[in-house]
Parts: sequence; structure tokens; C-alpha cells
Amino acid sequence: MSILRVDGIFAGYGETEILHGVSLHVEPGEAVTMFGPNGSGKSTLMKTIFGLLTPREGSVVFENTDITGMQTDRLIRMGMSYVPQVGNIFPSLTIEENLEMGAFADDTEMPAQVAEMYRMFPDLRRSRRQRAGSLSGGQRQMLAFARALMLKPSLLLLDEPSAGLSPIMAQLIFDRLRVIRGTGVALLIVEHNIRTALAMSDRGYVLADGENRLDGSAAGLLDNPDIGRLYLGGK
Amino acid sequence: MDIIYFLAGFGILAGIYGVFTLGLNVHWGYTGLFNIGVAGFFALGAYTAALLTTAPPSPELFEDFVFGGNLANTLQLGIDLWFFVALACAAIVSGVVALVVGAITLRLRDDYLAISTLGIAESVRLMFLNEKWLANGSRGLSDIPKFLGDFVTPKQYDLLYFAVVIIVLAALYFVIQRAINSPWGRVLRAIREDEEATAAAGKNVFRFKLQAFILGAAVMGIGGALYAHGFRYVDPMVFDPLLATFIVWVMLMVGGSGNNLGALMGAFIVWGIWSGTQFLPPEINNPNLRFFLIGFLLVLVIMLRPNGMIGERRRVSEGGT
Amino acid sequence: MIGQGIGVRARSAALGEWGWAGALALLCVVVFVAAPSKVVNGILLGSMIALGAIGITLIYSILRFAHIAHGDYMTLGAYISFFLLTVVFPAIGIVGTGFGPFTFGYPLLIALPITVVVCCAFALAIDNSVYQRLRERGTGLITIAMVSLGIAIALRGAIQMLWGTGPIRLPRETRSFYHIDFEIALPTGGALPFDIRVPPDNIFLGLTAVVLVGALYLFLNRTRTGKAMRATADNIDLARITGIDTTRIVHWTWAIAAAYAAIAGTLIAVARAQLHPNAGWATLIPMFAAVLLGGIGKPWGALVGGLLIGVSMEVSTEWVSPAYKPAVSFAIMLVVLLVRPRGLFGDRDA
Repeated sequence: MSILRVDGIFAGYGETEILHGVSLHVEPGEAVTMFGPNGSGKSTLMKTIFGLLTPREGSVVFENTDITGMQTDRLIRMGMSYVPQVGNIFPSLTIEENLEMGAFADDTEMPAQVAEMYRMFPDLRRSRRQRAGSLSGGQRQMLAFARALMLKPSLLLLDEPSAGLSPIMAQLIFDRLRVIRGTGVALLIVEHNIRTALAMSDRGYVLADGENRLDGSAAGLLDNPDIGRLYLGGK
Repeated sequence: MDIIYFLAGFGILAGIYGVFTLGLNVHWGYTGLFNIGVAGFFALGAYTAALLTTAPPSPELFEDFVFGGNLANTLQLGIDLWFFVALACAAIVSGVVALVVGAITLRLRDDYLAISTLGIAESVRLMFLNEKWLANGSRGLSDIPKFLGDFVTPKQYDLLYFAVVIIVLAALYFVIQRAINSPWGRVLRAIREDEEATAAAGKNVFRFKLQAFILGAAVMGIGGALYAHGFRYVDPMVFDPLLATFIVWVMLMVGGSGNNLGALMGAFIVWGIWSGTQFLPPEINNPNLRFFLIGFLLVLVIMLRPNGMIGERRRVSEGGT
Repeated sequence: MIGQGIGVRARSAALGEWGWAGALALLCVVVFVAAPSKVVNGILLGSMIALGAIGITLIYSILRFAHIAHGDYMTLGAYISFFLLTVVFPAIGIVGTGFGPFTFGYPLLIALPITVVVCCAFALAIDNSVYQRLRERGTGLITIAMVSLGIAIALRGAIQMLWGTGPIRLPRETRSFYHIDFEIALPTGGALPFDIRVPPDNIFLGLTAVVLVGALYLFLNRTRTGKAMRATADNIDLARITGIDTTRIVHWTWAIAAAYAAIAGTLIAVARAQLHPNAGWATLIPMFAAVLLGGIGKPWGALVGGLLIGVSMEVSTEWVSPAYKPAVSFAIMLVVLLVRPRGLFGDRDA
């Protein structure tokens, strides 16, 4: 039984339609990478899944509940969480306050979860009273993960988690994602750094021009000569 | 026949308000500049024209201001050409003040301009109110000379001056219309719709905004000068924000911002309604009720008909996504 | 920032926010020596400008538009208090002036909380019926500011319909000023005499401001809603994604802004011993000057800005006519925009 099932989504902004019938699914505990050229609709799909954009057609089902167009705070309480690509921390709040905000929808277990996050990301504990705006790019990303994990989600949506980071930092980010995945959280990742992302994923989807182009197991996609030529070449 | 004189009196003010709405349309309708200090440019124009043309103070009237240009008597260029000198100077003074304030605020957030124009209007009003030596303080300037006044009886002056106002208004309309339809005007509308894209296209957005701000302010200055020579008396009370700024906004929004014809229609219709209410029975003819209705109408128009009666068909006030 | 004087920018960078604040503080000390009474009263009156400016800056930080009706919200507060004090309370036997050293009576202390509730309800009703609809429609922020101008006009018109256009005297009892005389011995051997006169009402204004600013500090830094309000000010999209109920945050913002405006409006009327329908509108320029001076969206900036503007306006009367007080605050605003457009504590990109 899939934790997330996206069926025939048509969506866009104003008069422009960006997604023309995209489908995908994520199984519990699975890591899935989604990639494709710029403008293929990856970020739009993420926003549609998270209810920030209402699709014109199609449905999003999360844990057997139709969540199409559902309020964000309900989604969060149901166990979905989203880390956008940019602007994913509150810069003028302290690290600890950022984490508290992650538990805004339901703060019953907040102190324990804050402690858990400090255990998972020890760097954050050291600078807990610091303003988040003073963190480096990599640390910001860690804080964004921690914030998104505060309510123990069963599915984490990640938009370009390694964008703008050095290769070493990107590697650290993916190591951390592997640890997160190890705790049983399913991941749906949009990523440019395809090789690294697929290496830690079970399956992958290729999107182009707002439609499904290809999908399959991560290993299969990595071996696919077309993928290699189009997306992995040169690297 | 009295009705004709009444209509001329009405037409003079409506026409002058038309000048203000045209100026405001350059600011808001075409460029998206939020000017809530029309009264300031109105006052600068009116006082400039009045001070340049009136005779120096007369001791019999207990006037104690210092400067009266007396242009009407000293500058005998053909038939009363001093009038156009006065209009030009009013435009220049308003334009220069707009240049200074615009240069400081137009690079910054859009709403800084709004607060600054409010500040100009208030500071200008305070200056004319408190500096007695400048313009006779709260007692104001009277006996501002008539344009072509020697050719008509005092009673007919309104008829003549109505024609003058309409001619000036028409001239301004055509000048602004040409400017707006020129490549320069297209850049202004591009700025209003998407400032960043216009800047990315290599246009110096600040310079265009500043030019539009100066142009609109100069037009308002001319409106002020027209007022001075039409009513021949100005004092700081004339530039109260309600009748010198707020009502102009309502006129523009009702008529339709981004459309000069709409702006003029708005001026005549709103001023018609406003003037008409003075014939209402006293029980409901409450000036404070009118004050309330001006604000209420502004909110209502933006909420229900953001493009006014005949605004541009483009989104004028629905920005952003 | 094309073409802005490089020298100016270099200087702002070298001084930094506390550098600027320090330079201004030094200036204040110098001015204090010259006109101590005006500085003290300027701070106390400036604290009311600060309360209004804090509301404007909070609305800026959450709703992103210039709330032009803020001055008239203050006027509304003053008239509601006045209505309670002169019509409602006497009918139920609550009367009195000259409470302790103050010109006003204890009924004012009962009237203030009621006024706050009424003004909050008014602000929320306007948001519900006007601003919220415009936000849902995606209306531009400048257009929303224009709507707030319309509301300012309508509100003043309504106040004038109910209470007339002229000034109204508040019930009060004459009280003598506090008088502080002292000298500071100079190392050169002489002595610097100080003679400070403060109306007790102004002390009440200052104490009220201290309490309200302290309460705001605790709210923003210690409560869940307050922290969420700061988060929403940082990034409203992320706040929504995080599950913060941003609609509730908007309501809190209006409630705080309206409450502080109502109190400031009432107390300004108390300090001036009169009400005027134009009083709030006239305070708009000093309040916005305070907001810009402190940096848009920064409550503590608005506080510092309000105090500095208050002092400047009072001290300026040493040299220019008191009628020019609003013009003085406007001039300061222009200088700030010219020299340091993001204000003392503002973010670089504001």
C-alpha cells in the first residue's frame, strides 16, 4: 500500500498549465528521486502535493486519504512535511525557536522532539541560541531538515536539498538524508545532483514538459544509457 | 441666465480638478506612483502664481507679506501673456520640489513615496500658514489678478475663465496623451506592470519614475495656478487634504485610472455629485457625511470596480500573484 | 542603489547600526544639556509616537503594506475613551478627575481597557470585511495601502459626524508640574545647572509605554504565538508550510496594533488636554518617520525611532515655531532615507 499516490495531476499558475497529467507513488519508508530538465514541473508538483497549489484535475492520496486541496496544517498533522529549496528557515529566529515552529501544529511532544533533533544534528545544539540567519548554507539545510522532522512525519518532501552547496557539503547533506531515511521516513526528493540522489534512492522518476517521461528502479535508471547521456553525462 | 453663470463656476472647478486627475493619472494610472500629497503641489502652484502676479502688500489691508511680483502690471507682453509665465513658473516650482523629494524616495520602496508626498503637503501647508512674511499666513492672498479681466464685466469673467480652463485642460490632455503613447509612456506602463522585468530590459527605472513624478507634479502645479487666477484668493485652508487630495483620488479611481478620458470623466462626475449635494435638504446635507462618503467611495470603488468606469483593460490594481 | 554616494555608503558600513544609534545618543546628551526639559518631555511624548509606530511596523512586517489609517485608529481610541468618560461612566456614577498627581481621574484607568477592546474589535472587523478579501484576491500592496487611506478618511468623517469637527476639552483638573533642580559639577570647577519641568501626566505616559513595550517583548520572545508572529514576519510562505496558522497571526497583529494605537491616541489627548478629529492624522508623519528611522518591520527600531522623533520634535521648538513639529519629523525622515534608507536597525535589502 502506497503512502503517497499522485494520479493524473493537471496544475499550473493563472492561465499557464505546467503539469499535464503527472502520476507517481511512494511506498512507506522508500526514497524516491524525481528529476528532469528545468521547467519540467518538478517544483510545481511538489507544491501541488503539499496543497500549496490546487490541481485542476487529478488527485493526491496520502495514507489512504484524499488530500487534494487540503489545508497545510492538517497535512502536517497527518504526517507530511516539506522542505522548500530556498527560504526554508526563519533567519531572525534562533535555532531553537525554528525547531519550536516546526512543532507549531501540535506541540504535545515538543521538548522531547527538540532533544531528539539535537541528538540527530549535534551542530545545531551548539548554536541553539544563535539567530538562524547567521548559519552557513549547509547548517541552514540541516536546520530546515530538523524543523521539518519535528512532528515525526512519515513522508518528507525535499526540493533540491543540495542546491548551492559545495560538493563536500552536498555529500554531507545526503549522508544525513540516509540517516533520516534509516529512521523509517519516506523521502520524495527533487534533485539536480542526480547520481548522488539516485545512489541513496530505491526508485526514480523522470519528468519532462510536465509529463512522466520515465521511471524505474534507481539502479535501472543509473544504468539506462539514455539517462546517462541526457542527465548524467559530462559528470 | 443665472444658471449659465452657475454652470461656469461649477465648470471652472471641475476643469481644475480635471487637471489634478490628469496629473495624478500620470503618477498612479500610468506609472504606479502612490502620491497622497496632491494638495502640496496644488498649493505650490497656486501660491507661486499668486505671489508672482499680485501687487505688493497693501498697508490698508494690514497685509504684511514681503514679496508680490506684480507681474500683471509690470510684464506687458501683448494681451496678458504674464498668465502663461505664471502657469509655467507654477509648473517649474512644483516640478523642482518633486525632483528633490523624488530623487530621495523613488529608489526605495513604493510606499516611501506615499509618506513623503504626505509630508510635502503638510510641510508646504505649515509653511504658508506660519510664515506670514511669505504669503500673509492664515489670512491668505487676495486680489490675485484676472486673466483677460479687462475685456469682460466681473460677472462675465467666470464664463471667460471657464473657456480658459477648458483650453488649458485640453492642451494638457493632448500633451499627456502624446507622452503616454510615446515609447517613453510605454516604458512607464511597463514599470507599473513589472518593475523588475523593465529594469532587466536595461531601462533606468528610477529615471523614468522620476520624470513621470516631475511631469505629474508640474501638471498639478498648473492646476494650482489656474485655481489662483480663477478664484483670485488663496489661503492655507484651501489645501485641506479632503478637497485637495482625497477627492482627487476618488475622481481618478471612479473614472478609471490608466485612462485620461476616464480621469476627466471622474473629475466632472464626482465634482457634479459633490456640488449637487449642497442642494440637499439640510437634514441630510452634512459636510461630515460627505467626508465619510469620500473615504467610503474610495474603498468601495477599489473593492468592487478596481478599473473604474472606463479604466484600462489591463490590471491596474491587481498586482502580484 | 545606483549612483548613491559611495562616501555615504562607506560611512554607513563603517558605523553600523549601533554606531549610528550611539552617535545619535551622543547628540541627545549634548541636546539634553542645552534643553533638558524638552528632552525629558520629548522622550515621554515620543513614547506615544513609538506605540503607534510599533503598530505600523508590525502591520508592515506581517501584512507588508503601509497602514495609512493608523493615525485615525488612534483618534478613534481617544474619542471612545472620551465617550466613556463623559457619557457612559457618569450615567453609572463613575466620575472624577485629579487622580493623585494627574489631571485625569481614576475612570480613565477603567476606560482604557474598554477602549482597547472596542478598537481591537473595530480593527478585526475592518480586516475581515475589507483587507482579507483584498488579500485573497491578490490585490497589490500599494492598492491595499490606498484602501487604508480610504478607511482613514471614512473613519475621520464618521468621528466628525458623531462628535463634530472642532476640538473638545477633556475633563481634567489642573496639576502642578514636577520640578527637578540639580547641578552637575564640572571637572573644570564650574557647575552645570539643570532645571527640569515635567507634567505628571507625561510620567504616566512614559510608564504606560514601558509596561506595554515590556509586554510586547515578552509576547514576541516568550510565547508560542509571539514567536510564530516573528516567524511569519520573516517568511510568511514558510510559516504556512510549517503549519503556522497565519490567519490567526494576522488577527493578533491587528489586535496589538489597534490596542497600542487606542492607548496612545487616548494618552496623547490626555497630555494635550484636548481631542481633535485631526490629531491622529497629524501624528501619521511622525509615526512613519519613527518606523523608517528604526527600520521597517522592526518593533525595537520603531521604539527607538519614536523616542528620537519625539525628542527632536520637542527640542526643535527651541529654534523653530512649535507649529513645525510635523515638518521637523518629515525632514528627519528625508535625511534618514537619504543617508541610511534601511533605517537604524533595518535589514540590508529593505
